[in-house]
Amino acid sequence: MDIICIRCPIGCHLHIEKDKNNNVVVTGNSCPRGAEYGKQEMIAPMRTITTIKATKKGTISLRTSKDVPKKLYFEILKTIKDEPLKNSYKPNDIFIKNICNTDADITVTNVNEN
Amino acid sequence: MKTDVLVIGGGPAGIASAISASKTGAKTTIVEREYRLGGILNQCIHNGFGLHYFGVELTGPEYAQRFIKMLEDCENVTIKCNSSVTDISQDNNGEYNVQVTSPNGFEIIKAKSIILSMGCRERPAGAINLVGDRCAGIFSAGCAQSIVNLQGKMIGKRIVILGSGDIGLIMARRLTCEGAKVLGVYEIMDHCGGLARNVTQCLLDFDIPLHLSTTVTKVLGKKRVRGVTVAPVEMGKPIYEKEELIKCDTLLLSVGLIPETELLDKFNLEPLPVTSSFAVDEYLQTSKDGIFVAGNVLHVNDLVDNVSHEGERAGHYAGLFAQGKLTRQNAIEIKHDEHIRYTSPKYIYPGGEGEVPISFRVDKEYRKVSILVKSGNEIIARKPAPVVTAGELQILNVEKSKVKSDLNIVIESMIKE
Amino acid sequence: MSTADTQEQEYEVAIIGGGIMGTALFSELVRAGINCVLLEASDDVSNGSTKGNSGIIHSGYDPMPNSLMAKFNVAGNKMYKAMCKRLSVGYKSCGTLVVAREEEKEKLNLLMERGKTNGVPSLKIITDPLLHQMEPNLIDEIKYGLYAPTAGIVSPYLVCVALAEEGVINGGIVLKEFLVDKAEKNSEYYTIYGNSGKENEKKVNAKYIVNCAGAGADKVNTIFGLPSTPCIYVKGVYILLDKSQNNFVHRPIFPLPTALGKGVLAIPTIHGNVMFGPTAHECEPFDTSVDVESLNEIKAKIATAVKQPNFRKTIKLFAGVRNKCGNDFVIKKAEQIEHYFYTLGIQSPGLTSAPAIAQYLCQELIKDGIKTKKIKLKVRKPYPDLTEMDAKSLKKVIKENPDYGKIICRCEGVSLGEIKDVLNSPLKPRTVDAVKRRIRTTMGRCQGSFCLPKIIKIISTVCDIPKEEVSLCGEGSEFIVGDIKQNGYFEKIKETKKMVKQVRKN
Repeated sequence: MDIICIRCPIGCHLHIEKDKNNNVVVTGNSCPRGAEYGKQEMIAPMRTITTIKATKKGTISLRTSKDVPKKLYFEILKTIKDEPLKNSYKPNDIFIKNICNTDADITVTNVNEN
Repeated sequence: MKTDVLVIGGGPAGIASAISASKTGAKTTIVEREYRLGGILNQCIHNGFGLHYFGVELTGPEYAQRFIKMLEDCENVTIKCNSSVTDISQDNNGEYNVQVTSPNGFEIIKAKSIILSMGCRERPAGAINLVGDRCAGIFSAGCAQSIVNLQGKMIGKRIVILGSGDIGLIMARRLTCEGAKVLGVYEIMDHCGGLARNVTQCLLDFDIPLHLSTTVTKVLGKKRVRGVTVAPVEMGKPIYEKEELIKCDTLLLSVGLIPETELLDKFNLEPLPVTSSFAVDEYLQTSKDGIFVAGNVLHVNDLVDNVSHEGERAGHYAGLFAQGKLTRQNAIEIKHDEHIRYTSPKYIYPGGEGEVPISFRVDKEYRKVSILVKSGNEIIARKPAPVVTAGELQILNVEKSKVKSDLNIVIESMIKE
Repeated sequence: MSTADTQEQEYEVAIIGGGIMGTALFSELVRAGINCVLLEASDDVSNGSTKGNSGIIHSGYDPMPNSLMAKFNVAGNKMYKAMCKRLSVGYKSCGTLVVAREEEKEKLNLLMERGKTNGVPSLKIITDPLLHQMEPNLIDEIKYGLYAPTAGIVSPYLVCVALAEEGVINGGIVLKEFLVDKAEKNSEYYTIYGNSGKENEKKVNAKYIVNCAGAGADKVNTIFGLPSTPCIYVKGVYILLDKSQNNFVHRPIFPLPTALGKGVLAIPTIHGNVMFGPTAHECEPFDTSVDVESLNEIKAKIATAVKQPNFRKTIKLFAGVRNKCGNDFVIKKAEQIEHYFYTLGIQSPGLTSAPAIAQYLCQELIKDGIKTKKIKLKVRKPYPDLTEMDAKSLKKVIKENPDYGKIICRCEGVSLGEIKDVLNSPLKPRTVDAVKRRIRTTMGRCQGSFCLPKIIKIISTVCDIPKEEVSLCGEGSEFIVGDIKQNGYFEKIKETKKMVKQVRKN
């Protein structure tokens, strides 16, 4: 695959492929961080997910407490959507613990009342 | 009401200013028109804030809350939310009279120094000569962000985004995750305006196409947007013969930010034309004694971390000014070569202790260059840069003790002939 | 009064069209004690040509002598200041200036003569040094100015709203979203239908009809069985700059008029903006779209009179359409059917002429058999404008109602209290644009990017309608399509690979 490294402003064009031994090989990077990023993007890209849940009075903004596998993006959003609401929230509350078995929690970052 | 320092605007620049001003011992008041502090950070639910300042990546609200906590722990600070400044004037003994309206009433706050930290507004459709119909469904990206993130409501189903700055890219992702189809991001320049990470995380991750050198030429729709026409751009001009119609119900505009400087119009402060804002000295003080500026209203920043640093500087010096401990002496103008569009601050006081961070932007992308700061014939600071882009704000720290009679910032190519 | 009640009632007069002409007549008739209904097709009055014009109360030198335009322009001009005072809306007596170069001096003199013939008082030719002292931004080549001190500027849509409100508080009825599409007549009265055949069909009965439907008037005539009148529709595009440019000109500046019309002007607005326009190109009846050619035309044409404005301070582009029927107003009583009057071609100087035409039409209706009645006139109250109040009054007002201290539209300084007042005002506006025309929310330099989310919330709460029903200008122009879905979907698009190469151009 061909991607742009996002670890620093240079933005090297990385070329990532698997060799005949199934090892991931990254070329085009200018530093080790780029190689690491490229490898991770091929094997298991990770993302921090942030989103909103509507409440009776407005919304709460949420985040994953750490990076989670990108492939679970929409499954995580759906799980958040289906989770029933409590009466009130405050920032740093845990909304869902260990979302989709990722070991990351969904935490409340802000409460927005209308 | 009397105060030493009055901070106008309770976003990241204002909060940092107020903390810093109060640390000098000045009695500080911060005025914010929303019901809570935090400014635009409250609606920036995405992460990417705080890596430099706190060493950890935070979402907008989390970043704001850390600073709000620090502010609330300060003594000598009065926080006024739901309060709007409607006018500023100066009386005969140099004090500033600031008119403030809130549900609690109308009052005039007398302040020895004021810090303007009101941020920016978004450029509207009329200002980019967007022609066609004026129907519902045209939103600036920040306006859409407020409705989606703070009210939990969706603003459209099929969306075209004009402008590839970060706010446009961020909203492309948000709207997709909330059930809309984002048909594409259109950018009139030949390069993306936002950070590369946002292209990856907001566009590529969601298969949203980015069309460079393309602009929206017209909006169609009587009551609500029914479509837009887009055309490729050459030498800045749309090629109308190649216009294409895209059926959509929403047009999001992410076409630039304009500093909210209007409250200070009457003072005729020295402008800094490229930024549409004011020229300041190393204290972030304008050409008028006692008026300080920090944050996006001074110049559009890329990182909120730098906004906080700027606020801290302005707050510190505004606090000293209010206590009669700040004087201007022998300012020299910071000059630069033609590769650099502007520097902020524009003026520096030579000699003395400490460092002054000088922010600037270049006119186009440069690779493998060195940024040099010269005073007289001596190079007093140097920063090698594998790449500098036009959009990114650059910051160089300059030691005051090394500044002699003049200062010049130049860009030199590192590639030997 | 419920919708059902209003529709069962028989009115003496039904006025079709809530622009400046219709509302001026509405107020005139109601004040004469005549039982009146005003039928407006859209969500609010002033939504047609009335909201897309220069806002100038002309002195009357421009129309051809002995025309209806000349007669009603001069008569209307005399009434305007007092009318605005009665309505508590702003009127600025700034005069107007027609400017000319050295070689155009004769044409300017002819214009002045024409004005004198029409009965316009106090016209005079101004030269330097006074000319450029009055207007420093005139270009050097301009040597003469025809100054008309009896001219002025207003907010045309606010005058229209105020006239409608005056009518309503004195007993008149305004029915909005009533697009007239069918009419019947029995021996007693006309029955006028709106949205006929649909679920929300409305109807009213009235003995007399006055058609003031502007760009829609010819169509309305045919609905009543009258023949169509040849007319054209002319679009005028404007460029509006923000209030920082308010001293660019102190009064409307005109070039010499041509056969095509008054030309492209530099116009200060009563609120402190400056605008440039209008163009004049034939178009479809309701096409208010703006095009690039018009913008270029405006910029080129005003350069013949004034120095380069700072177009970077543009905040809005807009257009209005006027109905043009030959070169004069058409104000007639129908010959084919009884008790039916119509106005066509109320282009410039329509805004100025409207109150005078209204008086004339009222007299014609009386001649046709209508009886008037003396009523105790209730005075129309203006919306409180906090930006005009002094500190003491502000403190008092906010103390009594803290909503006046909560600023919603920061650019124009409009508070929550004022917005609520407008939502409760006699015509009960419900849309963002209707509120905008009354108190300027979303008209400032940010054009609503900060306050629109709040205004949607406020309209939804105060008017008790779901946010999905809050609109810009009526059904079909809603802002919000529904709740956030909280689970995205996306279709794979083939361009992804191409895009990677495109993202960073080397």
